[in-house]
Amino acid sequence: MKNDYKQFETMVKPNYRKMLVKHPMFGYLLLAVFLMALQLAFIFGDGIVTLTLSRAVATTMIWTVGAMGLGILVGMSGLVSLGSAAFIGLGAYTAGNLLRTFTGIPFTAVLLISILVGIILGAAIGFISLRVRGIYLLVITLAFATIMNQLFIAPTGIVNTFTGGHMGITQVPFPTIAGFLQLNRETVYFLVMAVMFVLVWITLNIINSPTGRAMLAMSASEPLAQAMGISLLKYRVMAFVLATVFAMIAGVLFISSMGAAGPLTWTFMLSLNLLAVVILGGSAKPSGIMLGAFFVFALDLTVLRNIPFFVQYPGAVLILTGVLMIIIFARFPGGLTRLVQEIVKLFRKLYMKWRLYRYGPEPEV
Amino acid sequence: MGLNLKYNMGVGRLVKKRDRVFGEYNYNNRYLTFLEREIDTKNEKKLNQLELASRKRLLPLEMEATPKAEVNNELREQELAEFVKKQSLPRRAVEQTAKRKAAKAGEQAGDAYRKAKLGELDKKLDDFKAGLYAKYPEVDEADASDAAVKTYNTAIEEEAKKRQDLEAALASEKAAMLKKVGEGVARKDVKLKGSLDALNKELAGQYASNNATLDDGLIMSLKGVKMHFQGIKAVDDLSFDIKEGDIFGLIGPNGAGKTTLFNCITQFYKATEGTILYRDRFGNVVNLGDYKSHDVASTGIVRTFQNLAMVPLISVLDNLMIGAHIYYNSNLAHQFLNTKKLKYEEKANRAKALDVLERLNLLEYKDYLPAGLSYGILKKMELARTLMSEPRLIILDEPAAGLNDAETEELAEVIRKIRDDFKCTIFLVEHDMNLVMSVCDTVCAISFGKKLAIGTPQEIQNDTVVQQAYLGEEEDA
Amino acid sequence: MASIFQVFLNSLFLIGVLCLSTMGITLTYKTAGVANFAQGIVATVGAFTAAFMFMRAGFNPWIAGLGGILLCAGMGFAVDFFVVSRLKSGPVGRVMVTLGLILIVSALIPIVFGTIPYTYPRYFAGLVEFSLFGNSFSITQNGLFIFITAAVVIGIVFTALYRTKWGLSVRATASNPIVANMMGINTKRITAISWAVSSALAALAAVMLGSQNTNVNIAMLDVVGTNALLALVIGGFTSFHGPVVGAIIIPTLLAMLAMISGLWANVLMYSVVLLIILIKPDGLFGKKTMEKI
Repeated sequence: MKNDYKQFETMVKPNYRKMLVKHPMFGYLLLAVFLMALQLAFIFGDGIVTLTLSRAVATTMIWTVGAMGLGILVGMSGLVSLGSAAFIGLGAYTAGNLLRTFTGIPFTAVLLISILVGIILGAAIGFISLRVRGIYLLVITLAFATIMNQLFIAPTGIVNTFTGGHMGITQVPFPTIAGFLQLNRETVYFLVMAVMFVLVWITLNIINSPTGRAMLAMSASEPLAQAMGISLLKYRVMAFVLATVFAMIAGVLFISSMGAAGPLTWTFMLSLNLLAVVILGGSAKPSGIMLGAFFVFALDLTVLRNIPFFVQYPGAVLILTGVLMIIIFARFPGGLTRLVQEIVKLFRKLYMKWRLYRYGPEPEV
Repeated sequence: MGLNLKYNMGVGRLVKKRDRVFGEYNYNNRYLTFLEREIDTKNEKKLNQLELASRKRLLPLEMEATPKAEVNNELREQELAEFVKKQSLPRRAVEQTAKRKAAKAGEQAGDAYRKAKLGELDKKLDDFKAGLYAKYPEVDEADASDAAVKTYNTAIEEEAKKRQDLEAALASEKAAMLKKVGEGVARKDVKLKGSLDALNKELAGQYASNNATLDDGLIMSLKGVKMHFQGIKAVDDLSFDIKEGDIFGLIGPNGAGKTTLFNCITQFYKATEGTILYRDRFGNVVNLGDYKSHDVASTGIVRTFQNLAMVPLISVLDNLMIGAHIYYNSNLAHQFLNTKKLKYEEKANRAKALDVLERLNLLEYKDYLPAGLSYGILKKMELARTLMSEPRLIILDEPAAGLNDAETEELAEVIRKIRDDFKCTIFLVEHDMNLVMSVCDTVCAISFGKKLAIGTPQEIQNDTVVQQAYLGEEEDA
Repeated sequence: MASIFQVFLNSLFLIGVLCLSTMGITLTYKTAGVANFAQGIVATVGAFTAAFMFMRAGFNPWIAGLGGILLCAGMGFAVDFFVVSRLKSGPVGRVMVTLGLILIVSALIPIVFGTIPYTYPRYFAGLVEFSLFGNSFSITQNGLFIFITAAVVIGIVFTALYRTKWGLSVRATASNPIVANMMGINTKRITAISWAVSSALAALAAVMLGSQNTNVNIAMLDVVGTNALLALVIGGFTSFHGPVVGAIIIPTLLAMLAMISGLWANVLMYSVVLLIILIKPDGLFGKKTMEKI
């Protein structure tokens, strides 16, 4: 008689808890639950969560969406763009005008139209990018962003009715989803969250798909990619289209949740900050991007704004971002993701050391 | 030139469509094996579940049917073993601390500590033992009751019957499923083959207008290929044929234009003059000059690089998957949403990659990042990657560069094995004469872009012109 | 036609400023392999220092300007010595560092210099008036002074580049740093000095711009910085003179386009520049480099 039932059970029965914890989306699920709880606490709790905090989290989520697109461009394809802020702006103006002009237009339609515009513009830049490399590309995207910023502040003409010039556009109504659900200042947060997590899922799919591998191959070695049948044109264009579309979606979310937008938001500084998010994160993975966004945006909006020094000089957080960016480039090419991994590794090492000290070497089996 | 894919969009589209159908055809062929494996794993899970249930039922019955003394013995032993295992860590800690104490305050202090602490643990163990004897006392009971034994035996039989029934049911289910799907696969196979033939026929008409003919048994023919860079004649009027299934070596001193020729064939450079004819897997003769560099791979020509080219951020297995890139038929929507179609293609290609890795003895490295691996292994990985795209002609650019003698010998074997196992032709450039002489069937020697001689390795070795070219180079060096 | 020439005269000082800035960027790009996106903001610090010395410490504007330029030279040297020379990443990675520098410096300026606007005097107050082919034209003395200074300084830099031993070392480092190092050139020192010279040139440009605009603010060099990079790209990275020609083309083009449409001149100018880059991806004076596979 042998009572090995328990052992056999662990071998055969699927361990659902372990499967859940090991699932690649589990971390994101936890985060989603936390973010949702935060907003519910804001709506129903009496002052547990302030309006500032809720706004800060929503803003961070919006910038995260933009940074995820840039992450695909930088982390997967090895291309860099300094024009992401301008595209977020374009998305915001497009959606803002649609929401303003056609009252009750479904949110899906707004999103689809913005995505279409993003695809066209992204493809244009992608085609341009094939002719130029490296720093030339950076300067080109910078010039492109400058043109768009000039258009945003156009004082007269048809462009002005679209962008509102220096005043920007205001009084944009909150969007309606599913045809009847009119969102308001509190519930639009959930829309932002839902869109972000859908995009996280899609980004993860892209990273693990043949497309993702093709982009990685292209950034590692262009001759290799071509020899394997990967068309440089196709994947460069695709990388730019993805970055642009993500930026446009971020813009749509921005105008949907804020209701107003002005040209001072879409500056070169925002582009730099988004790039800093990607570099701090250290990889194209959404987890890395979120970590970067936390340091660049969320930390400033939630914690640092309460420190007197940072209240006096609101730009001072940029020092932190810049220093982190340089340190990461000089010392930790993997970014904060890598840093976290290193810390975990360090703790494991310390534990093993302690174990050796306490219990002596492991007996041989 | 009658046919130019770059300008003739119609033909280009036809070729793309044909390659797509061919990919579909490949996946269809592999579908049954894939399905069988899926069903097997599912069935095994079901059988395991049954086994678990039957054990759950049989365990108490078995206890009833065994003599009480034996049961108690067994239970005592099990629980004691568990307790001893639990005590092993504290015991090790005591030993370790005692050692430290001995080093610090002398042997005696250590011994004393050890004695005291181990004594404590021993006492605990004894207490536990005593407790066990109280819980499962030693009894002099005779055998278990006949009724219990009988129940147990019938239960065993029942469970065995159940398992048999389930196995039979699953087997018939599997057979039915495979038959049903097999019919569909066969139908699709016929259909795809039909459309493949039709497309090829249509294409053959177009190709014929090119007046390109290639003798039987040849896979590639270079006719008067020239490549000039602003007056420098890197390749100057080269012509030779490559037989199907050959291992063809190209040798020549540094700067002879070998790599340039490779780049002309794979269309990284467009040859200034001359044609490169190639027979693709459907028997059509095509002019490679009509293709863009990223379309060459789909005709069945793949190459490796002089300097290792791989993607450092992903595992060896994923690096191999890049080789199968041209065979993915799922479109972007499938990829973004990770649909069933994409999952199937991924699984099919992953299985193939594992198969290739196993054949080249690389299976143990599949999850490694390339950065940590040795040069020889990475070279083999590059070879494995070329095999992922169902190649007909593999072009190797100095495969032995940077390898030691043992690795080079292994490489020679691998090259031969690839030719035999995967039925492809191999075209290589090499400096290592031992490798060329031992592995090649035909060797072509060139110098300053011009052909010196072509023939078997022995003929080339004894050729005076070739010797001069090489000796001349040594004088310079 | 006459008015075009007048517009051109009005933007003459811009040509000077842009040429200086572009020369600086070219120097660091060629020697250190860094397209210094942060040059504009670093030079702004120089302008602020000059304004601070003039307004708060009561220095003569000439000495104040020199002080700003020297400080910037020191900053350029420090950036190279402490950060850039210690990096092992490729050209795009180094650019990222300069982008990080933009964030840091632009946040530090209000903290160090405060948020109150600074004024800065023109070195020369008068107007130069002259007539040509029956039309009368005018240009500010200060503008003319800036243009002449820029021309002289750039002349000196080019002479130094092509006539002195230092220039030879810089050109050797620019064409191949590894070989230059093997030939006994201390490339590290050459690079660091180039950074210092480049920052000094940019600071000179910033001080000049400040004196022409009679004020100093944090965004004053944003447009100049972008245009200098564009000039570098249209001129081509491979030569020293190409970018300078690019720097002359851009303000001239802008002045001409302003005649067509004052409102959309900037947009049109950038579009034309984009078109030029698309047609000639290696710049007007750049040479095509072939990649070895």
